[in-house]
Amino acid sequence: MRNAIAKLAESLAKRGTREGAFAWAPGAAADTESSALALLALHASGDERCAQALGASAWLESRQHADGSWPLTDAVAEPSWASAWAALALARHGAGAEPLARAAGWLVAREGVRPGLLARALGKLAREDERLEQDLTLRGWPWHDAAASWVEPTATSMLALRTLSARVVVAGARERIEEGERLLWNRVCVNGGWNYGNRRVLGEALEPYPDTTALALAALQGSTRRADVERSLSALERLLDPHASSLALALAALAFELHGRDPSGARERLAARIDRLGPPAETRTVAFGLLALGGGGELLRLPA
Amino acid sequence: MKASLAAGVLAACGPRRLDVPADRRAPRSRVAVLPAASYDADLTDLLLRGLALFDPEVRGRRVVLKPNYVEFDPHGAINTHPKLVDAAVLAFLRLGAIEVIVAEGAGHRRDTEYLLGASGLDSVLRERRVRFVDLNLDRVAEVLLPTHFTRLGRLWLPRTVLDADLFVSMPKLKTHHWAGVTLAMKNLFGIVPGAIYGWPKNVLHQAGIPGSIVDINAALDMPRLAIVDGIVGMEGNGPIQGQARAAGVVVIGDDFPAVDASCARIMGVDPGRVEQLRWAGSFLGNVDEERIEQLASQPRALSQAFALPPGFAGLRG
Repeated sequence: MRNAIAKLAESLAKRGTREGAFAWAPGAAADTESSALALLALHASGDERCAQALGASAWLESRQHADGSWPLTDAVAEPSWASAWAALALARHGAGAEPLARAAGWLVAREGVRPGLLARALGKLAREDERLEQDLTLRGWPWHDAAASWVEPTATSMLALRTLSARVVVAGARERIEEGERLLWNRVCVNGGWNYGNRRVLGEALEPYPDTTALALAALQGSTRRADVERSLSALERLLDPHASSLALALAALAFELHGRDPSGARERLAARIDRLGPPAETRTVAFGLLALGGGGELLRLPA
Repeated sequence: MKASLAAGVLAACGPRRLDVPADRRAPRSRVAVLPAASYDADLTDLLLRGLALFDPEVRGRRVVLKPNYVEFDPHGAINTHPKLVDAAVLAFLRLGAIEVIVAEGAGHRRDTEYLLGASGLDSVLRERRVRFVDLNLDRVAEVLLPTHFTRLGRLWLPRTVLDADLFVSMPKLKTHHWAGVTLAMKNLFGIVPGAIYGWPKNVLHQAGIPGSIVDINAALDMPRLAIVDGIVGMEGNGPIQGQARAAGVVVIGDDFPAVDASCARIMGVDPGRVEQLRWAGSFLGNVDEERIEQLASQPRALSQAFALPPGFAGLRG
């Protein structure tokens, strides 16, 4: 395990950019998600005061828009889904209340495109096998301003908003979090777990993915639907097949830890995979790996 | 009622054609439909013979192959087969390419490590020492869309594709539950970066799928080829949950609408009834049968009447 952690830490260190941020891969442009997750991973490693952590937090603080959001990169300036990770990481890093309140305000206001009256009427006219069998009127969070709500951005926004709510008072946050939870349960796959966000298409059930299942479960900490949570935790265990990636194993270990299931199997497989194949290509996978192997689950633990 | 209406989300923005795009069609286009019984055939030789019919400029060029790895199902036929990707890598290297890159931006799964490993594509990449570019995370440039079949107006697109000397779309021959068919043109949804537009690339669905297909294709101006994996295709509820359908063909061409129209005819679909092909056929490429010269087999001679997704029975040719 220690060998894998060392490999991941060494790999993370090589992903820093000139500006002090992190990029999704060595040599790429600095981006918000990688910088935020790297900052969390450095916290998990006990390196939160190191130069790279301070650089990443300073870069994130300097890139926040006046409306509270963050861009994906300097080149793509529009408000991004990655704002959720930036807000969560800065909250854990001890950022001041003002930027966190702005971030929370932006997250509360952000919602996915929902069908209008005409589209809803047409949907009701559709044949049974043509329905998506999900409530498209529920407000979750989108990847992009012009898109509907999907599982991963909803889960990460819920994680961020619940974390921020412990630091700052945000009007409307509780309602958005509750509606986000309803959306996640509305999109849960037939036998538990989540994919990108469709449970059925044309009457046929779709399969869940391990990474999105783990993120949704992280966002559903404390859910009163305990039996449904357990069913999705069991689905996650089944999804860790022999092809399970480093990302799947890392996120699954974190979800198991957050929900009181034994994460040691997923951790051991992750460590063995990194020993065998080396560090993963993507910075977010390196960061989640460090969080999973280094006891970083606490950074994603939500207040009751 | 068409299945797309059931989604509701697709009804928000209809096509928006404020102007008539300049006619870019060649007087005639050429397509080669090559019989290929299985993935164990000598596919490199097949592709070299097929590519010779088009004589693309490859020597000293950087070739970007874009297969379809939108998602993976070990029991399905979703993806361009790794053996065909392998054959294309070898064929372009033998033709003198300075570099061959395999590039994809998966549409549903963010977990590229899983997709490459589980599908077997990573074995090809390692064995041939070929660089893979995740188009979901690539450097991007903002591109003004020259046509307006949607209200998108502009899109961020990956530099690896925009800078390619030769771009090769390598789709699977499939039916599609929202678009009717998914072929060389629809395969370009996979170049739209997920890091900006998400997983799935729902912005394109909201803007209208047929219009988005046409707008993206019209925005690319580099030399291009299509190599369609129709050795085993998919019918029914494609592009993910349909059934495998052996069609026994590889289809090559340098005019995407002409390639897609030929593939549609192989699937027993009238391309004139497929919205994106009808629109693309009005200015971007040739769809009419009489304007497509078939260099090998005739599509209609190999037509198989693929099962169509619910709501698309009207596409039958």
